[in-house]
Amino acid sequence: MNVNPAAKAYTNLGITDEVETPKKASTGMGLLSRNSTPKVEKKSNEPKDRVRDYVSSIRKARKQITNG
Amino acid sequence: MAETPTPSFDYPIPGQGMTAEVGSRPWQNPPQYSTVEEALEFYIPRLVSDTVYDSLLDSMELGIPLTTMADSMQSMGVMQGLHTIDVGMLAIPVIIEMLAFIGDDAGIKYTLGIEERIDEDKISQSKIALAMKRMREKLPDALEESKEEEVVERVEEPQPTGLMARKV
Repeated sequence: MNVNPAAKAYTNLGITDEVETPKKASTGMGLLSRNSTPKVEKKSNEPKDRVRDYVSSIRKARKQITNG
Repeated sequence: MAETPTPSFDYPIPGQGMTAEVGSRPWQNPPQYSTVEEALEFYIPRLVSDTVYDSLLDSMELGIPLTTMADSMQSMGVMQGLHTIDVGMLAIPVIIEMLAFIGDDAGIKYTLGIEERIDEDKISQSKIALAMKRMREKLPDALEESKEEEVVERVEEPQPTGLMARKV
């Protein structure tokens, strides 16, 4: 069992390695098509979320180094 | 490097924290950096500075886990009154990632310290105890039988009776 609080803080960030693909908004061109505007997801500004963003951006840069 | 919990006798004695006047310690005063970003602006330039960089790489090569390094860094920051423990805990993942980045950039093998250490050759004490218990449950009769057989064999062994016979 790992008791190091730093290890717990690092592993509990919940960063997924999956690449998020932006969904295309299906906008019909017909006259009867709905005028649906794509929902803009509100980004949380909690410190934990900001830290997650920082870590994921550094990790991306790190992967670029390791992958050449 | 294995991080084994060892008993330490360096802990403060009960009540030692109240022997100093309130506010005389750095951590009893308002922190210098109150947000994660401010704390990271303090740490990250230091990680890549010439004075720290080489010693960081040495520590990584020695096998010190990055989590341990980051934890000790933020603990020092708390003791110096730079930031609170909360801000330090939030800064830890970024520091670890930055250390990993530095290690990768320098081409050094490092350990994060989050890997579960599983030694396949080593059997845990609980498993050994369980196996012993099962053995005792299954084999008491067999053990008794084997003891009886040994006794019988000893009795049946012909003892040399001659005057010149060797004593066994």
